Amino acid sequence: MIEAVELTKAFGRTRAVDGVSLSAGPGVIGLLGPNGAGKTTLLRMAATVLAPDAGRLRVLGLDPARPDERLEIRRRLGYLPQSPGLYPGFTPYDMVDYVAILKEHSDRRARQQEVRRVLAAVELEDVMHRKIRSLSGGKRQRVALATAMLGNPDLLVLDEPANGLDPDQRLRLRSLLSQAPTVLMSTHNISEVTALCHQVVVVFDGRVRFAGTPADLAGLAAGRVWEDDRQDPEAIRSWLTAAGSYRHLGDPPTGASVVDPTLDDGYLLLAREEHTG
Amino acid sequence: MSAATRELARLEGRRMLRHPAPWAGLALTLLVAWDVWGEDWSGQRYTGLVAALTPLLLGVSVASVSAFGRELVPVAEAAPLGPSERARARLAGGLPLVALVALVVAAGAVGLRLVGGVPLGDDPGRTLHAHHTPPELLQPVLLAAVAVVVGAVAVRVLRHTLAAAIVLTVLWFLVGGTYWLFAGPGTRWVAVVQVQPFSVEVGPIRTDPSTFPADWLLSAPGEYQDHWARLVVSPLVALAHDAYLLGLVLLLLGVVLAGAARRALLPLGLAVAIGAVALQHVAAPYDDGERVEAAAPLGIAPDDADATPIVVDTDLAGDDLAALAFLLRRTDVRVEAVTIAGTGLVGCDPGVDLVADLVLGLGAAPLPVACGREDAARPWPEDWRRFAVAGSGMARRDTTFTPAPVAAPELIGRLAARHAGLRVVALGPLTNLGDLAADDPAAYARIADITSMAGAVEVPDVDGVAEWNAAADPEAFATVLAGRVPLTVVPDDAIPAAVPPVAWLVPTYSPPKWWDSATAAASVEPDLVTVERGSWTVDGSGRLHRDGPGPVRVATALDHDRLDAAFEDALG
Amino acid sequence: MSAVWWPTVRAISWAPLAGAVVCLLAVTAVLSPLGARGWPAGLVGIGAAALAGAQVAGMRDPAAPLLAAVPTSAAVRRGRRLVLLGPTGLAVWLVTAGGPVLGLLALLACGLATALWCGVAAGAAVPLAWAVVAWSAGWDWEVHAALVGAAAGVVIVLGRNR
Repeated sequence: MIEAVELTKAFGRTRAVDGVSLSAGPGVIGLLGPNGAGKTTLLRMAATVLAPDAGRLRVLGLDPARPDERLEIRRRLGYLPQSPGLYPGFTPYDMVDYVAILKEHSDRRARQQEVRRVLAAVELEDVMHRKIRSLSGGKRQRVALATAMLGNPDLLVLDEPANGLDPDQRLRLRSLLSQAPTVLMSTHNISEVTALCHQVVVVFDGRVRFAGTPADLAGLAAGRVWEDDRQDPEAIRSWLTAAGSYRHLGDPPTGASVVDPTLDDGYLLLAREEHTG
Repeated sequence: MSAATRELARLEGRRMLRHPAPWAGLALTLLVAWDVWGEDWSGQRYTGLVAALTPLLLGVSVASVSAFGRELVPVAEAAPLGPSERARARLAGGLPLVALVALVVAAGAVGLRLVGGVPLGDDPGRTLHAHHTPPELLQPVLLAAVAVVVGAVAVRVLRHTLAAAIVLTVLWFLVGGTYWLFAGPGTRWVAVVQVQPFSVEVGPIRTDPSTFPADWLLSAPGEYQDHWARLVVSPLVALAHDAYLLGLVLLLLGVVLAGAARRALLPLGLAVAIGAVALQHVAAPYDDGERVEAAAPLGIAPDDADATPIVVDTDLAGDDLAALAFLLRRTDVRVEAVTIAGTGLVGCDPGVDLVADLVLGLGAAPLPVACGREDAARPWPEDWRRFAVAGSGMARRDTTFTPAPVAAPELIGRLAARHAGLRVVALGPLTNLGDLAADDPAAYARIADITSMAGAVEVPDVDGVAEWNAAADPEAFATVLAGRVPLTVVPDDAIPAAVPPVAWLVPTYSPPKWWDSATAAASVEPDLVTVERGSWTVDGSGRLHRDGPGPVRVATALDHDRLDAAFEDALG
Repeated sequence: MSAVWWPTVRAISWAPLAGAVVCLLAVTAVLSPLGARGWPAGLVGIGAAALAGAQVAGMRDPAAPLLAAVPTSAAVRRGRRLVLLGPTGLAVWLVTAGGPVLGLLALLACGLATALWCGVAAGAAVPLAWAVVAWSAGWDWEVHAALVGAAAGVVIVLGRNR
């Protein structure tokens, strides 16, 4: 669904995306990486909002550089940016209806049904006629999510979709995302990746450092995680767990009690290796 | 003010000082001041320097908008430093900008001391060493305080920084850039920017200024002023205006701040502002009873029984008015009508008003006035036209003359049929006479003679024009030159470059030559004209060419002394 | 097609234009009892710039990131805003100051061109800054209005998809 070859995008001297090649979808693909790693830039290029400086990109089998194909992609795409921005004087219904009009839902009756459907999907029916300015941050995020889901798009590009959502809504999000053929989403929340993603892509400094299944990412740390009662200065990272013991990452000393790695362990190991070069 | 509020005030103060708007405003203020310094007419420097502060004050307001715009972003809403304290801190943060304006004003005042002051007033009541009084110098500092607070109010009301900046730009340029709009009787006491001196009307346009007290600063009649005025700088009124600004600051602070401060500041500010307005009103230098009575109209003596009937065909520039006054005062000619050359300088409608102003101002009876067509071959420069209309120096009468129901050429034709020996003195383009000659040759032929100021023989072109009356309608001039009516043309070459004794009639008008009054004198005193007869043609620029022998008389010289004597005789 | 206009009207931030309109009406109210024929020359440029700046400020779309990937392009969405803001501003201008139209259009075009390439705030500031500089320097604020408007139009066309 998304094919990228040597994709590059620079802002001034900063290369936000630096030669990224990946093949993603169908299913839910999670983009992981620290702040400023290039996740948002990558998502904006996938959503046809930003044109790459170099490299080849195909979305839903189409070339976003060609105007006619870009339009076709946009007709089959749902996009949720990191800071969506809404009209405070609109109600959720007005807002989603307006986006539906811009998404070429021209039949009025069908559009109204679709607007109600997506608002129901994000559980906003009870507030859909209240002004957006009076809604909480989480509800505003759900309004934006509803606009992205209009028309059951073939591809959802979501930049940190769980921002501001409560645990209940996060669960709800999982079931919503599982209905879309392909979802490309960024997140900082590794538990979301575990729960939602079929595929995970880890990005550091604009480059892809890992692409595979969540299990593969966790597997990177296999045999390199151990727990102990005290801090181990030989470990490359150590932290106190909720159980009160120390969890260590690195080459375990002889006799250490090695434990099964999690996705966090795999990601932190990658991050550490990236940091130390 | 708590330590935290003081710290925020310091931070905001630094931010506002670093904001580019006040500095850009300062640069533009200096640019305006530099430009104003190049002006030396009347009190332009004295008044212009105050108005020059407008961009700086706008810059201060924009910086304030930027500071208070931060309140629109919901950061630290729950911080212990509440909205009221934050507003106080931001207001205090504006004080360095107020200090900056004070510094600029102080530097300007010191600079003016060093150069010995600025000119103020017109001769004979004029000084070259005027200085702004301390209350006047305090005004910009208080205006800077207004600028800070009004920025806060604009953000608070509009909740949109761009909208606030836009609104403040218009408002500052309205109250500062066009401060003179508020100089009227209904608005001068509530004007935000007060620019002194005040102008106090002391006498009509024809008053001899040497009769005013020697210590008066005077403002001479001009394009926008139809009287002599005394210029008065009143420190007391300036001080009252400062108090008014203080009241405005308090009032606006009451809008910005909440709670007890608002309850105290709103009535206090209102009371101070109203009190200050009342004080300004009381201290105003307007009812000083020193007005000089208007001179009586010149008056018109009855024409002689055998006076020659004439039509004055004119386009009503300043010297046309002097010429018309001269002819109206002559008892040996009777002005039967005034026809307006629509292709001339002022056109028909303003022309009719000007004739009414002059005729009634002289105390004469209303005259028939008619207009001709208005499609000049070459449009007159707009600023000449505007000045001729607005700067006649005559008071606008409440009434006007109703133009004759016939067009000017037809009126001339009818008058020529009614009055044997009708002469025409043509002081503008010859459109009306040319049209009459073309449309009704028989009526045209009844005219006894024509004296026309038009054309130039040898004087050089200016911007491709030899002479404007001819160039505005060369075709009509050519028709008249070729016609059978005896014609005397007074070209530019023959007009002496001297100010005639008739000039005082139109004090706002100072042309290099008085073409039309000289031509009017030449029409009734033929002895003062030296002519060259011939057959003459005119080209598109208004230049006359002699083709050979012929009947047309073109003046080559006018006797200067006899001209002056004729004027003295009629108007002295 | 008509369904889009009312939401677009509501989506526009009218506050700057409303502020400018109130100011222009205030100026007219100040001028009318004075019997002035038309606005003072110095104020015409400032008034036109305020109106142009307000129109440009109204082009700001807070939901632009959300709408960045919809099939209706940004150029079309901006065009719709302009269709609403432009004639409204023009009508206000003609009712209050009575013109000149070309100067206003040139300022608006410059503001829009700047907004496309440098953001709406800069775009709104450009007409105001120019009018203030022209007033201060004694320049004609309308200088070569047709030429400037045409050049800005080219810049707008080049940046229509930004």
